[in-house]
Amino acid sequence: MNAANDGRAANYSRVDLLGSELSPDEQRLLAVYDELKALCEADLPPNAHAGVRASLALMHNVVAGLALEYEHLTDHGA
Amino acid sequence: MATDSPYWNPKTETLDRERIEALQLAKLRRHCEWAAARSPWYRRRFASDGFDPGQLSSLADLRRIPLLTRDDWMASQEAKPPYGEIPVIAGEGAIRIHTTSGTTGRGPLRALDSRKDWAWIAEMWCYAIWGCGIRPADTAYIAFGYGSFIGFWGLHYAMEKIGVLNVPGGAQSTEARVLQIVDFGATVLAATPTYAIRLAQEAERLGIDLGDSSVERLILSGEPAGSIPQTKALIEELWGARAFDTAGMTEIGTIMVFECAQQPGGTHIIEDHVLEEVLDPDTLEPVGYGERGERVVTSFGRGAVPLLRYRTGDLVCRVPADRCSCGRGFDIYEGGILGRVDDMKVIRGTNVYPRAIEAIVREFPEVEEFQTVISHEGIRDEITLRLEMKPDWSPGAWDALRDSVHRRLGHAHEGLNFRIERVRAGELPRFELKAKRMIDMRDTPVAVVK
Repeated sequence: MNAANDGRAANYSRVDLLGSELSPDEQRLLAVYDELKALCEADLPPNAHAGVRASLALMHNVVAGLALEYEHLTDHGA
Repeated sequence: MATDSPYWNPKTETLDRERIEALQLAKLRRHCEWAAARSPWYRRRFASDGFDPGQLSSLADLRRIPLLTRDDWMASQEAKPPYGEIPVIAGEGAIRIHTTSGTTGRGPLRALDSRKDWAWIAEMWCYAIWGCGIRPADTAYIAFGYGSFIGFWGLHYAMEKIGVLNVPGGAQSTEARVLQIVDFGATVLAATPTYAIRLAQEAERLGIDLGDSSVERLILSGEPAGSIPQTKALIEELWGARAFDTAGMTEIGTIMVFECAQQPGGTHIIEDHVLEEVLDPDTLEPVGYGERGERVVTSFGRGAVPLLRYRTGDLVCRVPADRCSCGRGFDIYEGGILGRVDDMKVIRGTNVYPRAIEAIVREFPEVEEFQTVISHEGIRDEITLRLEMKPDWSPGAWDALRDSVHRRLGHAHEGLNFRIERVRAGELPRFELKAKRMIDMRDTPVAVVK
C-alpha cells in the first residue's frame, strides 16, 4: 500500500499531458489508477488479481482519454 | 452519466489545433520510446534509419520516423513466426488474436492485443456511437459473424460499455436477422453498407416495411460506401433511419474515424488517439488540406503491436474541423475513405474508381446488385457493368434504363464506353462483409484469348 500512497501523493502535484493542473476529480481518478497498478503487484487470489487487471485496463482508458497519463501496461498484465 | 453531452470525451474532442498537436507530440514521444525499448523490429529499424525518439521536438519531426508497410509486417512474421518481431509480446500477455488477409499468400497478418488494448478498441468505438447520438436506452442489433475478422467486435463491447442493450446477430441467416431486428425492437443496426442494403431487400421480400421498424440509426463500417452520398441516401431511404459512416482496420484494431450527428459529409479523425498524415503516395511528401493522398497512421492505443507511420493504402482528402458545426476540433476526411490508392483502374487512358461507379448505379433503385468486369479483348481494354434487377422490375424498361446508365457512366468518365449487361436474378454474388464488385481480368490468360 505504501507504493500506492506514494504514487498518489506524487500525482497531486502533477499536471496533465497538456500542462494543465489536474482538477480534484482528475486527481481522484489518477489515484484510483495508481492504486490499481500497485494492486497488480500484490499477492492476491486469482479472482481478485484478474478483477484488478480488468479494472486497470478500463481505468487506463479514463486516464489516457483525459490526457492525465499515457503509458502501456503489459508489465502489469494488462 | 452526462447523457446530454454530445461528446464522448469533451475534454479532448473540443481542443483547438494547437493543443491537439501538443497532446499528440506528448504521446508520440512516449510511444516511440516504448517501441524502441520493447519491439525488436522497431529497435533495428530505428537504428538503421538513424532515428532516436529523443529527436522528436515537434510534430515536424514525425517524418524522421521510418514508414511501416504491410509487407514489413508480413516479412517479420515469416522471419519469426507466428507473430514476428513488431509485437512487444509473443502470445503470453495477449488475450486475443485477429487476422486479416496477408500479402504473400503464405498466411494471414496476425494482430495480438492485450487486455488494455481491447479496452481501448472499445473506447474508440464509443467516440463514434456516442457522437452519433446512441445512448443507454437504445437497443443495438449487430449483424456480424463474430469470427476472426475483427469487424464489429469492438463496437459490441462499446455498446455494452455505454449500457446499450446488445443483440449479437452472429450465425444467422439474413431472413432470421431481419426478423430479430423487428422482434427485438432494435433502434440501432450495425452492418456493412452492402449488408444493410441486403437486409432491406430481404425485408421487402418478407413483406416487412422497415420504415415502420424501430431502427433510428445505422452504424456502417467495412467499406467506403458508407460515405458515398448516393449509397448512403439509398440506405437511409430503405431503412427510414439515419446512417453514420465509420472506418477502421485490423492493423489498428479498431476505428479511427467516425461521422458525428451533424453528418458533415465526412468522418472526424479521433485525433487524441491517432495521428494521421496524408501523403502523396509516389513522392511520400505531405499534401495539403483538400488534396487527395494516402492515409498514414500512427496509433497511440495499441501497446502490444506498436503502429508508427503505417502506410494504409487508403485514399483520403483531409479538410479542417470547422467544416463541421459540431464543435469538435478533430479534422475531417471529406467523403470518408475514398477508396484504395491502388484500386484505381485505367481503361484506355481514363481513370476509373469503384466508388464512382457505385455512386452512379445507386441512382437507379431498380438495380438490386451489380458487378464491374474489366477485360482485354484484341488490342484494347473493355469495361462491362453487369446489372441484376429487382424481381418486381419490368423487363420492358430495360432499354431505357441501360441507355440512361450508359449515358451517366460515360459522362462521368470522359466519354468512356461502358458495356451494360443484364444478368439473371441471383447470378451475382452477395456479400455480408466487404463487397468485391470489381473484377479485373486483364492479367488472366482467359481474358487475353477471348
